[in-house]
Amino acid sequence: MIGLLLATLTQSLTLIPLALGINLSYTLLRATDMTIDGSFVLGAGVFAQLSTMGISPFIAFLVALTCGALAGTFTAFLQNGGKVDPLLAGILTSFILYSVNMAIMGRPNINLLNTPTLFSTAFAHSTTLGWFSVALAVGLIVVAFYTLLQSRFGLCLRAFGDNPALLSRQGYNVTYLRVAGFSLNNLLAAASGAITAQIIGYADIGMGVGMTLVGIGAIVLGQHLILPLVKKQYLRAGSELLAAFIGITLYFFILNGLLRLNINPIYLKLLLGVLLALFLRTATQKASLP
Amino acid sequence: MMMPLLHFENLTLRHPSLERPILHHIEYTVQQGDCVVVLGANGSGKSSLLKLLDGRYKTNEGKIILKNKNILSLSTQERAGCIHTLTQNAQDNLFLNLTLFENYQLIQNKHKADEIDSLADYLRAFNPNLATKLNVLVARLSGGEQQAFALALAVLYPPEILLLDEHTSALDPKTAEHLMALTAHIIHERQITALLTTHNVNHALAYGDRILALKEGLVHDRIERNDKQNLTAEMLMARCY
Amino acid sequence: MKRLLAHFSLVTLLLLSACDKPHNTRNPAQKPIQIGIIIPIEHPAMDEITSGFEDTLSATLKQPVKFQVMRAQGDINLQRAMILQLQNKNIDLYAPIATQPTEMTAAMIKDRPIVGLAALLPDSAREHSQLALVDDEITPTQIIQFIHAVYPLKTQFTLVYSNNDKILPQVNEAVAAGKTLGIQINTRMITALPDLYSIAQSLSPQTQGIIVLKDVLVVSGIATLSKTANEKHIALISADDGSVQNGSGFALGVKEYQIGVEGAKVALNILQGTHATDIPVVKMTNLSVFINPEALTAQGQDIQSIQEQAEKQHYAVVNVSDARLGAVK
Repeated sequence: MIGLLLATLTQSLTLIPLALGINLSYTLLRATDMTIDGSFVLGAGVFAQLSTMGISPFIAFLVALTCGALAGTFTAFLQNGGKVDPLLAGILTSFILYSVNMAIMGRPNINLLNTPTLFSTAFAHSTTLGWFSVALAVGLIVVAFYTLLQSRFGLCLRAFGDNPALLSRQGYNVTYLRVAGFSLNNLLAAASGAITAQIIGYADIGMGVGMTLVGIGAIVLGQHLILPLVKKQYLRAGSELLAAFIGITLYFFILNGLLRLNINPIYLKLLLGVLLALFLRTATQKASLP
Repeated sequence: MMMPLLHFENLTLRHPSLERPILHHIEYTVQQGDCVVVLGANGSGKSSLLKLLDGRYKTNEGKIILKNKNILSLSTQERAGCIHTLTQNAQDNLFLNLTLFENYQLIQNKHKADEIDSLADYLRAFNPNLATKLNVLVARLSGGEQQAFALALAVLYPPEILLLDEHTSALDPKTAEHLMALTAHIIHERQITALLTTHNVNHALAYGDRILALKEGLVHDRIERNDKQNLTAEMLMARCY
Repeated sequence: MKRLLAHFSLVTLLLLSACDKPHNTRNPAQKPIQIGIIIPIEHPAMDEITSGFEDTLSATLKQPVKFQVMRAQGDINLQRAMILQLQNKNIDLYAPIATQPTEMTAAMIKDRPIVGLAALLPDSAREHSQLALVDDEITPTQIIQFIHAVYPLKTQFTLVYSNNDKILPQVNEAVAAGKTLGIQINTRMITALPDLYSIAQSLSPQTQGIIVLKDVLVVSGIATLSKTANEKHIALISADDGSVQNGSGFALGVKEYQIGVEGAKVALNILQGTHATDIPVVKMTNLSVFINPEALTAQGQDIQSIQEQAEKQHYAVVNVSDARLGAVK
């Protein structure tokens, strides 16, 4: 049981920034941003390429985040002032990002097994210290993100997702908000990619496949469980954050749990898919109520 | 003679798929403090006139002069400070998935200098229920409460022109009557210039200072302050439709 | 109702997954050696490697052995969970297949030996874990030497490669190997697939053959080169069976089953007490020659000479048109 919990925690931890990013696009901006599949790899790839070139992991990490934000900016501009569907724009960007990632990485796989990373010193000391340092980095990202959400900027992003036309008529610059929102969620995805690469020991061109859908599934799961319990609307940002944590943790708990039950992995995705489909159904039904 | 605030000059709006212009050579002047009721059948162009004002529709033919400035060349954002619209659809007026307080914060953002009394006190005058629901999502309010709240926000920082595009027509008759009376009271009390569209000729007579009747995109009739007193609802109906 | 169903299924799953199965505690002497095999994605080649590994190890190991095969189906989250689960099961030796799963295993498992099958990693990557490697890449020198043996009279070749920093050192090695054998190898680089067409059109008339290494981009456009080779009756030689199926005349390469066999030898060595990092990276010596008789005829290549040389070097000859029909295992 302890093994199961540890497996769940260590796996969820690296994907928490991604979950926050998806929470931002899916819940606040109300757009399914498929760019995340690509910017996750972009973050990993940029970090791996720069750090194997001998650049300080801190700088490599920051550049990776910036590149993620740029990918989001690109998606925002592709939407052409809201005329192109964000889903389509995201798919297009992630399509383009495949080539960009390949060009940046120069090869499909860069290994980081013997490269200094943000956490390598801590892991060399002890595994516990290593995971503590990962938790610290993720914690910093979470705190920064939460502060941003609670600010007026966060409110504007939420209003943008709810009703961009009205926000524009109230005199807000929606183009700026669209760029800011999509940059931020892809920055978070890139952060997750860069952290994951450091934990699993490599960046790989195919490592982002299906990340968005897993993330959305996990978040819907979490929100379904958490949000009905929260009646106070001003606790909303916090409860959404909590829902993202719980969703992603639960996803990995189930994934690891099923594996431990020796359920044939052929059916694993089917089972998870059916479960998520049930949750998505109930989520849309709830949303359509007055 | 009051100073003309708004002037439509030879205003024309066309749609590529329609042979007849939606609005054709509209000439009309609105004075500061007027409450002008725009009457007309469906498709007469009255909603389009309002949409040209707030920027939801665009045209290059003619001018809309607001305080000596042609606003047709301004973006929606640039018009935001001086024109505010309320329609019958709550989602055009309010952020439904934000709370009342958050909706208020978004409006207030642009006018940092003004100190106002607490939101609850302010809202009590519009609808006593609102004051207790500051942290409730707008989507959870009744239709009447939503429109009352939208009106409250619209006049929080009075715009140069308030556009009321059938803002009561989605409500039940009693609530609609109540909201219309409240609206009229507020705009007269605060001297707000308003353009109001409605199908209710009784409202037009009761609350409008002046009436502009449109038919098939043309100005069909104008009824000024002094003419209005002698009119009955039936007569107005006959003149305008 | 649906909401209830969703809640119900979630609770069931949670309960099920919470019940860890009790471990079988048999007599320690009887306890089989546990080996975890990690297969990143479903592919016949992966299954071939797995069977080669399992067959050889079962046959040579004296103790009972139990294989835990984990199939990640291209999902890295699943793969990570699988490695964690193997870790939880106290696996004695890990055998990840391909470079990416080997990297992940090496990053996560420090206290158990790992045999990376068909994994290409620099030696530095082995420093912090107990990692042994079976490298399935054959050296360009081996390829050039074999070509020279088959065609001792041909001295002009063109090597087409892509701008991939992994390929460039191999290209340099091939050119150097050619020089020592008196073969002049001209190199042509492509940056994108469409470049292949213009390169195929502008080949030097002296060229007697086109060489392609295990170069993903070029191999994906092998049909373009094949068309030119067929038209000009010059040899097209590659380094993997896939490209031979798609129109290259022949290739010197590695049979996947054999990678598993080599891996099993390394695993055996480790289980007998050798430290994984003390075992040098295993290079494949037991090679195969893949031939495409149809393409060979079209390109005017000498099947007989290929077969003779293969026999001389003890390389197996695999006809890919048979293999495609499943006639050759």
